[in-house]
Amino acid sequence: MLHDDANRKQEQAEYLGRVQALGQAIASAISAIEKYDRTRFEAHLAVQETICNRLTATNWKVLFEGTAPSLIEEVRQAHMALAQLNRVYAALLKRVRRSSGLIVALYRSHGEGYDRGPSPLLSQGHTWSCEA
Amino acid sequence: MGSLLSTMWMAAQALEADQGALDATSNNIANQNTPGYSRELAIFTEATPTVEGNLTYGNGVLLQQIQSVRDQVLQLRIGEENQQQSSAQAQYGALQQVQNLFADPTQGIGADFTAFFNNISQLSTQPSSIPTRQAVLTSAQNLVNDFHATGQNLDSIQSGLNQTVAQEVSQINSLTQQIAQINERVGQMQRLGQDPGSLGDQETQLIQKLSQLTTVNQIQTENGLTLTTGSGTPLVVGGQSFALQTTNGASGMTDISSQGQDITSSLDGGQLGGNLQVRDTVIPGLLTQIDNLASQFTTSFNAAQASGYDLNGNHGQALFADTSGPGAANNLSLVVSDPSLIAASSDGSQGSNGNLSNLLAVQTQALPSGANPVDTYANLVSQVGNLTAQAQAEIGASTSSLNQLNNQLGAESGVNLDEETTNLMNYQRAYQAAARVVSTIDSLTQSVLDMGSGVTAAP
Repeated sequence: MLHDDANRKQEQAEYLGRVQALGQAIASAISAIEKYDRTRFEAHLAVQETICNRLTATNWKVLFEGTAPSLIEEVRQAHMALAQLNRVYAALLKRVRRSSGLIVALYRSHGEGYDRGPSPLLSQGHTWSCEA
Repeated sequence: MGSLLSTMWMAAQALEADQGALDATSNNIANQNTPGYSRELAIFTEATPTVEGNLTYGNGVLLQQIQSVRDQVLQLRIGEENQQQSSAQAQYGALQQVQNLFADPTQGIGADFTAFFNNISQLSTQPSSIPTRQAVLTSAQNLVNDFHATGQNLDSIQSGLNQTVAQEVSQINSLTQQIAQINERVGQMQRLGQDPGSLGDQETQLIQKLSQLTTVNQIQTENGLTLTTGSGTPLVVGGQSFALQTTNGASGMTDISSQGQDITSSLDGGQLGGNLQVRDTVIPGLLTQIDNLASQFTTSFNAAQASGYDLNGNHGQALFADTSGPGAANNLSLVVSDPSLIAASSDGSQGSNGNLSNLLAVQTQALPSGANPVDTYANLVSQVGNLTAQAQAEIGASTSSLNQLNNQLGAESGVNLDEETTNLMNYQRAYQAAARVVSTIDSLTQSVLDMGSGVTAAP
């Protein structure tokens, strides 16, 4: 029984640690996006996937059932912080998609690749924003 | 065939070109810390050669233009992000005020519902007690007061946003006027094939400021830029700006129009868009939900009252005045001041508490909106919390996105001191070499003249 209790506490600590690690991985991915560091972004993406797989395999409500309210509050706070970070991450990824979409549209409009000169579409009254 | 004079001419042109390039480099270095500055490049071109028979003589170099390095895609994305960030910031600021109304769980409508039903529950042991009945009426009055306060506070936040909207329209008009003036000059320079240089930077800066206020579409035309709102209402066309007007709408809120057409609902993005979103969508939505809650709760509770008997043995009369539609929360009122009129009895006898179960059931029964009164209110509070958290997340994402875009823009259009120092040395050496050519030609010309004077001086 004591052994079970110790195991459970260990699992609870691991769960909390994973939630915090996921938050850290998301924050690092956001920072990598800001710095245009694709390698670091992909590395953090892989970390996120691994942690997410482990977290989804755990039923946290069952794991923390009957534990001290302070610990449950700690988990709730960790979940809330993660949720907020995830909102920022999702909104940022949406913006990155928008930037990528613009660049793809630009490449298409030039056919053979990026050229700093005026677009052939400009003479037809088109603009980058129209093209996008 | 080349001559000393043509060589001298080429060297002079080279000196001029290198001088121009040195000016551009020096301007870049001077503006290394100027916000919004785009570095300039000296574009050289080979002068048209002279062809004589089988021989082609080069005619030196020309400084074709000084070109500012601008990336239109990045500028477009930065403009969009500025709009989104400003919109999110405006929404967040307004939503924080709204959230403060619902922040304290021990006060407000939610706590009042709990206190009201707890006091009704107290009647179960003493259904005839006047003080206990009076406590029910007092908590009912508190509930009414908080419905009023919530409605009035939301109205007050809406009025504050309305004033901000009018100020922002005035800022937009001032900016479009300034942009139009610059745009006219930029257009003239572009028609002449000149690079607008710092004027272009100034215009870009002003457009970024405008983007912080509302969504701006940019269309490049032969006469310079045309700026429109997100829905296509013209703001600047060439050198002309189109002012937005404000009028008092039927709802008491400021409407925004352009050339006689109401465009309020089509304005989005930027601070103006964010404030309009909260003023015209979020707050009216919350007011409607609070009005519905007041109206449906009143109907539900009065029906429960009607199914019982008061302390005098009469059928229970309505505790709250019937209220519905817009302003229901503000119009909610307690119509009973006599505690004996609470219908606790199910058979008209004084000691009966049979109808209390009906009165208490109002707390847990679903209203027509789908949830019981307490949960309906909790959903509303949670909705405000989610909207605020989402606005906060949008600010975070926009900040990160702007960091990313500005990093990239800085790498492309910003001044790199190492690169400029290398350019400075290259142009300096080219200038020195051209000057050397001039002095050599000068010396050769002198020799030719001396030779000439020697001939004439000979006896």
